[in-house]
Amino acid sequence: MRSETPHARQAADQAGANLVPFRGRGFEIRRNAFAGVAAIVVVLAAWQLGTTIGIINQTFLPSPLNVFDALADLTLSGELLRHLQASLVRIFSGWLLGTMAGLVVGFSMGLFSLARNVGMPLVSCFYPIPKIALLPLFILWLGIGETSKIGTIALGVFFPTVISAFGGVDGAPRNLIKMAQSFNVPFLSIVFKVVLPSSLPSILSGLRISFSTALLLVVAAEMIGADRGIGAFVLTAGNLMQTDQLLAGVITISLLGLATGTLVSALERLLLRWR
Amino acid sequence: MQLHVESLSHRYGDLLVLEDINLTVQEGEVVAIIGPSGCGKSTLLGMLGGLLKPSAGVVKIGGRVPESCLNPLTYVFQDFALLPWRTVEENVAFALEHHAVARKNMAERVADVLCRTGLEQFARTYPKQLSGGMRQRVGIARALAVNPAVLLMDEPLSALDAQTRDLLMEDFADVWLRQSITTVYVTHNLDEAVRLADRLVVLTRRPGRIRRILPIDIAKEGRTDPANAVALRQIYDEVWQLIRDEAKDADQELAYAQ
Repeated sequence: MRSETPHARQAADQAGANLVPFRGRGFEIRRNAFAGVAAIVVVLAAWQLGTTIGIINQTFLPSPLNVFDALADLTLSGELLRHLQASLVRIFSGWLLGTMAGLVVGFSMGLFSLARNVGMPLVSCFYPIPKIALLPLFILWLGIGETSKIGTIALGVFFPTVISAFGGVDGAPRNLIKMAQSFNVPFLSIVFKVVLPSSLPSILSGLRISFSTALLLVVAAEMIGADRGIGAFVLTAGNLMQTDQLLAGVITISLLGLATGTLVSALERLLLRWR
Repeated sequence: MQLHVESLSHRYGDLLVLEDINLTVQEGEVVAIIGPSGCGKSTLLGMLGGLLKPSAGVVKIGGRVPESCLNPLTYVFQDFALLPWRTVEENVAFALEHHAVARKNMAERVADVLCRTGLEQFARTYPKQLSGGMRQRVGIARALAVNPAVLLMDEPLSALDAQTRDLLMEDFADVWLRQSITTVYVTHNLDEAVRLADRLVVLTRRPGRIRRILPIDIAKEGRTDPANAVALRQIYDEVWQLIRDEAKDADQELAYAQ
């Protein structure tokens, strides 16, 4: 068959045919990497300008350059490192403990009826408690030293890990499990080759949450009872009105958060390539 | 190997989906189970391979399992059931990894079955990169890799578009008719059933009962021969008459949660 003839087109023009208006505008986000950088530069510049011309009182909010100076001094003197090291040890041990326990409990709840029926009500009860509220109790039980801080962090990390691991295991596609069963694949192999990989996306996004929970709790715990650690450092700086040092500490904490976030993103790229 | 189904019934809660099914699948035979949607075809297949526990009745296997067979009752699934984090060859290997015998010559086994199903070039690709037809080829390759005694196929071509379906059906008929593997083939597609089956088992709508069993006496190699077209058309029409009204009623029924 031939395509449309010129006659048909002429006829349409004579009949006064109108253009179909384009209605598909909007609801599309375009990427612009420059905008983000520009926004940060503008905020920093405005802040610097405000302190230089004196609108902002430097006692309460030092200029970005002063904060940067403080950060450089603290880094060079090794003081920041000393505090950072103390915090990192607590974060890492607490996080490791909480994550390991959380994965075991979360997987059990996902796989076994008994564990689920027992675990669900318990998790629902304890999850909403702000874990930092339990620190005084932990101090009574475990003393003011490292154990009570690590325990609080572990507990704070434990619950989100249980929930993400459980959710991931529970959401593992039934059809894939049935398939594995139809080939007589043994139980443990199904857990490691089917359930674990399908729950990995959920576990990794849980990791993001548990990292930030650990960071939050370490700072809070160090503010309550520690002479070393980033939280203690920030609190002391505040008490002495050293706002430039205080903000340097805050920046260190956010860099730590950024680093863990980047780590999880890298893990996701590495482990979830198949998606 | 034969498969004996003896007074099999199944209910989901209060809902009776299958009632008193009696059937014997002979060695080397291809049986197509056909019926309107919701008649319990897939439920029946699930019970045949031991993935679902029947509410009443039993399924028995008779005869000797050949020595080379790693998984006597092997499924091919409608939704392919491929592991998205494994490549094509790793997906096929998944069915073999837990067999000590197969681990010795795993690479050869996998390569051989990929070759038979026309997947050699795709060995290292991931399922999401493949078309639906290619994905089901992987599902079939995985099933053939274990040298099944009985193939249980649950609407294997239903998720594919009409053209892919016809292509795959012909390819697949070549590969698998040559081996004459005992097969139970569940479908709601009459064309597939009439093309592939030795016997058609027509089920009624829910609760599914056997309405009729029809043998097709034309050799499967000759089914695409125009000389047989009229005879096959007659069988097609006969079955269509049987299920047409049932299908209509089933269509108007409210869905139930499984």
